[in-house]
Amino acid sequence: MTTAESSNESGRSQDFELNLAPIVDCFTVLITFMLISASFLSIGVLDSYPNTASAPTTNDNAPKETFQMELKSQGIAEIQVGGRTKQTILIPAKNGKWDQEGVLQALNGLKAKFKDVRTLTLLAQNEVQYIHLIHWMETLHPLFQPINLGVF
Amino acid sequence: MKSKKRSTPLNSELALQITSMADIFIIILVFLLKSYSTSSVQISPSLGMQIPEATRLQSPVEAVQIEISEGLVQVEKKPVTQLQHFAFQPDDLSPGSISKAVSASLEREKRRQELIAGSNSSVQVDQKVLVIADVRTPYGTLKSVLGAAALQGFSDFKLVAIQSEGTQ
Repeated sequence: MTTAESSNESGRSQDFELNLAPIVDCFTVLITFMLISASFLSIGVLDSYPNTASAPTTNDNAPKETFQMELKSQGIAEIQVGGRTKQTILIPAKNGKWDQEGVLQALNGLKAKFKDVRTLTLLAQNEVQYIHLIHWMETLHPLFQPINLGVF
Repeated sequence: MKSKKRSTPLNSELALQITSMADIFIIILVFLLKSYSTSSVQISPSLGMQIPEATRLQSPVEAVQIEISEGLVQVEKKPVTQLQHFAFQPDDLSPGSISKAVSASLEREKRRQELIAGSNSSVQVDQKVLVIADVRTPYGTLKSVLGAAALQGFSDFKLVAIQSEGTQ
């Protein structure tokens, strides 16, 4: 695109046309660079602590009971209440997978019984894949915060 | 056959209308700038890794990065130990199933942090660790890595996941 100029009596140009070609060139380079370097995936994190570490608490009166859930490779989930009260709940597999409804029902029942327990230690057998762990951490997140991981 | 000839001459000054093109480019540029990630945390998983998806995620923070892929464990993008289909070599595991190589590498990281914190009072030793693991990683392997991290004082695990399109 060329600039068209006309002069008035004083010799100064009045009409001009903006040369867009170099601007478009810059835009093309910028867009190409941004498309290459842009990340369209949003990455986040799930918070967790090891079962030995003391998780941050807002209350000095620590609960007398502790909850622990173990994912077994056959789709069985075992919930253990430790501390002052001892209780074990075994949730059998449903269609070869962990029974999410059953687990949530059992944990809701325990939470109603022991209102001051806010954390849960999540364990799994060595064969259980990480994807299942993340799924369960996310599923249990509304009930327990934080969810500790059994690493020892 | 008689060929048809135009009676009117072709316009020799054929100018491309760049104005509309510039408008489109501005819109694309604004959209890209808006969606451009401004996070200071750079997480770039290795090729072939499958990161888990989750909906309830928090923003990532700057921390020591541990990556567990099918054949390798990396700490701060440096290879630490080899894996065979996500399994540690038997000689790399201590009796408590904790990886010796990962533990040694994290100990170095810890010492480095302490050294920096010692010379700069505004820097504190961080307990956070970013764990980037493949979805197929067995819990046994994860436990060996996280156990090593916990042993070295990294007790705040940040498990990296991709934000999926779910209802909050």
